[in-house]
Amino acid sequence: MKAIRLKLYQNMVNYKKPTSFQLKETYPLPPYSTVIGMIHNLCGFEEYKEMNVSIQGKYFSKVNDLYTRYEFKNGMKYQEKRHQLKVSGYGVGRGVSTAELLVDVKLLIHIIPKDERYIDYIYNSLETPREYPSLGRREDLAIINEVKIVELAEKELEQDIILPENNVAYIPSSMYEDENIVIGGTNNSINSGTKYKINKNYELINHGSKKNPKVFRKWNKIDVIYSSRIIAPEWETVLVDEDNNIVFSA
Amino acid sequence: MSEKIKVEMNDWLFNAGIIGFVNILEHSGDKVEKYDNYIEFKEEVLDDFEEKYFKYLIDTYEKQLSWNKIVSYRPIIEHFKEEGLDQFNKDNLERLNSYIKDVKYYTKSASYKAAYNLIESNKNVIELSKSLKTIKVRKKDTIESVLEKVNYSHQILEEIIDYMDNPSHKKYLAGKNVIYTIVKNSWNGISFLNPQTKEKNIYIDFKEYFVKPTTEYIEIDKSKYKYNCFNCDNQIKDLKNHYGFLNNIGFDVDKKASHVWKFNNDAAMCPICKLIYSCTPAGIMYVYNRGIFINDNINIASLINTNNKIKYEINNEEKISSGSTYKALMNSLAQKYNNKIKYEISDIQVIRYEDENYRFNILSKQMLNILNNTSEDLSKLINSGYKEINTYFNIYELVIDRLFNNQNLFTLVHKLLIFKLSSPNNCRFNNLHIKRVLNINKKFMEGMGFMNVKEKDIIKSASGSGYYLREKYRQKGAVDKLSGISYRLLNAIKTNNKDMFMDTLLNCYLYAQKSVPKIFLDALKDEENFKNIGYAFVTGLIEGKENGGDNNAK
Repeated sequence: MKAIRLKLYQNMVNYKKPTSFQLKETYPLPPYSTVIGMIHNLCGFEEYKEMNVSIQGKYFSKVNDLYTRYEFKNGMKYQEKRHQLKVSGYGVGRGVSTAELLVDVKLLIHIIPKDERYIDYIYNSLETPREYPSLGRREDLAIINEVKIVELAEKELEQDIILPENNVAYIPSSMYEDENIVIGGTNNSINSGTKYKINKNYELINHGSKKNPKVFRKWNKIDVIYSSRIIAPEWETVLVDEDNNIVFSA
Repeated sequence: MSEKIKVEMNDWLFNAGIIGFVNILEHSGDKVEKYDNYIEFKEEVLDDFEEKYFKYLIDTYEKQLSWNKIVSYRPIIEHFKEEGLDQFNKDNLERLNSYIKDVKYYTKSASYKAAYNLIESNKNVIELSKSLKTIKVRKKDTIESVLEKVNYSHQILEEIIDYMDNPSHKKYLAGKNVIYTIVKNSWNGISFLNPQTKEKNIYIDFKEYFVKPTTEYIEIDKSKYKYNCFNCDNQIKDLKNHYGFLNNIGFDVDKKASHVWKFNNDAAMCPICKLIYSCTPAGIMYVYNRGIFINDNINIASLINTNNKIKYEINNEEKISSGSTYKALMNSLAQKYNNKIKYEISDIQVIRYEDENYRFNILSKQMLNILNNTSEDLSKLINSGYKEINTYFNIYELVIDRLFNNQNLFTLVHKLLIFKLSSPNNCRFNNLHIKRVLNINKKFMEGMGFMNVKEKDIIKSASGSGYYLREKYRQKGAVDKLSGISYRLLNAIKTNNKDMFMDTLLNCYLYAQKSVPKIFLDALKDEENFKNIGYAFVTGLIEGKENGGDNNAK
């Protein structure tokens, strides 16, 4: 199985959680949907191409920073009393709010398109991007340190693979439930980490009428556990790339 | 017969709600079945849920309520009733006066007034407290002359306390307290926190708003509903139950649709989830306006254990202050760390509520190690702090805050030193505290792999050098020169200007006719060492400033 391996560096970045509307809370690693969105954007795909993604990496620290928040409703008229900005007759609220930012993020991402024919196309789009790559918010630049087509294989391990120190990953629940991966060191009776339900891709569903559509995204969510203490023990069969990186494909 | 209702874990705030929900029910002796990542309960436990809700909150947060402030004076009155007023002295009087002021203030505040209306009693507490007066002793008179008045006040106070302490009154009075001191931290604007609410009785209001829709929702056939709950995916009829009431999470759906995709808000929840969310004040542990929650969500049991540990630590503290949240967190972390074989706590999300904002951190294994290694230095910082523009900052909190975010402490040390030099009046710390901070910082830098572990204690020898240089200056009668020099050194350290630092330093040693200590060779090697040594040196250099004839010293 072929995959595209991507090594990214980001200086300050926010991967927003869906329910954090005020303080923009960030995930510790980019969620699947964000990565898939970046790939689609850089490739110019107009509709969803099925793909699996594996995300691991680390960040150094976290800071809270201010950002300018604009709030408005489609078609809302300007009202002087509301301290709004006047935008050609419409009213837009402006204020400050806080965003959580991860500092010095390093990511190792594997992209496994379902249709292998896309491999070269995606590779080329990342090798010579049509515009600046960003992951997270629009302004969160991503520096691509490596793009490489790698061969993935299910392998019976001859020795333990331990995730490099301080690195973390999203581990899909299927992987640790099968006990192919051990979380929490040698003592596997108690796991350690935080569980997340992470968005991957969506379908559009119209709840309005044809004339007056009200379209919602219905998300496909993946149960993952976020942990740094990951070991793929010997004799277990685990998906790895050619450099023996564990692939947490979801 | 009703079927069981299942609630699954989700986001941290919802998890806090689940914990609160479980706490509330178990406090009243109801049963909740706990599984790996969900709980199950029977519909019957929702009977009288509003009573259970308030009972839990009142019992848990009793120490923090103004109601308790009033009632807790009873033993003092009883003491004097038994012993007579012979021993009544000036201190007692002062205490009584400040207590009377409190009582007068609270009894006529709006939330108490609202509670009186719910209570069936012909006693008029406002009139009673009006008849209370603080007692003044004129210069000529002795304390005996006012004992009559004291006695009278005691009688009235006792009447007020009796009124407050009556269980059927406490229910409303303390209930109102809980709403404004605790519940308001996590949600606002609806039910009894809606200023325009029609139902004045907080218990009925809660029942009508949260509990009743839930039981109705459980009963009803939902197959025709076309929307889904944003949280649990259950089917819902409409999108009326949006996230707007959750502080710092939701937004006003009607006016600020730009928050959501294509201006169509799909973030709405089912009544069950809403009820669970309403229990967050019982899940997050609040101390006045601060809160803490640990999202140890690997399974429900550990989530409950970890957070109850925090609750226990806080409630067992003798004096509850806003710093208690940190201390409780550190204590329970330390305990867990010691039972490391049984528990693993790394990679767990810690949520803190401060200044009306949530802050999130994930504790890494490394960080836990560092916290554990520095616990001794940390614990010595608890009572240190400084005042800046009428706000008191606790150094312990500042340090932990920075450590949690993986930030080094150089800026903090810099600030402390500048403060110590420029306005020692506002400093409630001494040089030993700064050295502790530097020690923590050194261990932190080593732990993060930025510095090699040195055998010798660079902090100690650098601050020692500073101290001896100061002594030399003192002998020469030139101690006053040192603050100017300190400023220059601090500037050099902040800007990483080794040349300027060494220039100043060599000048000083030339003037003092001393040889330059070897430690500064280390300082030249790399930036981290330079900063640590530099700051330690300045700390030593300004040591004993208070006794150095400074007029501003306190």
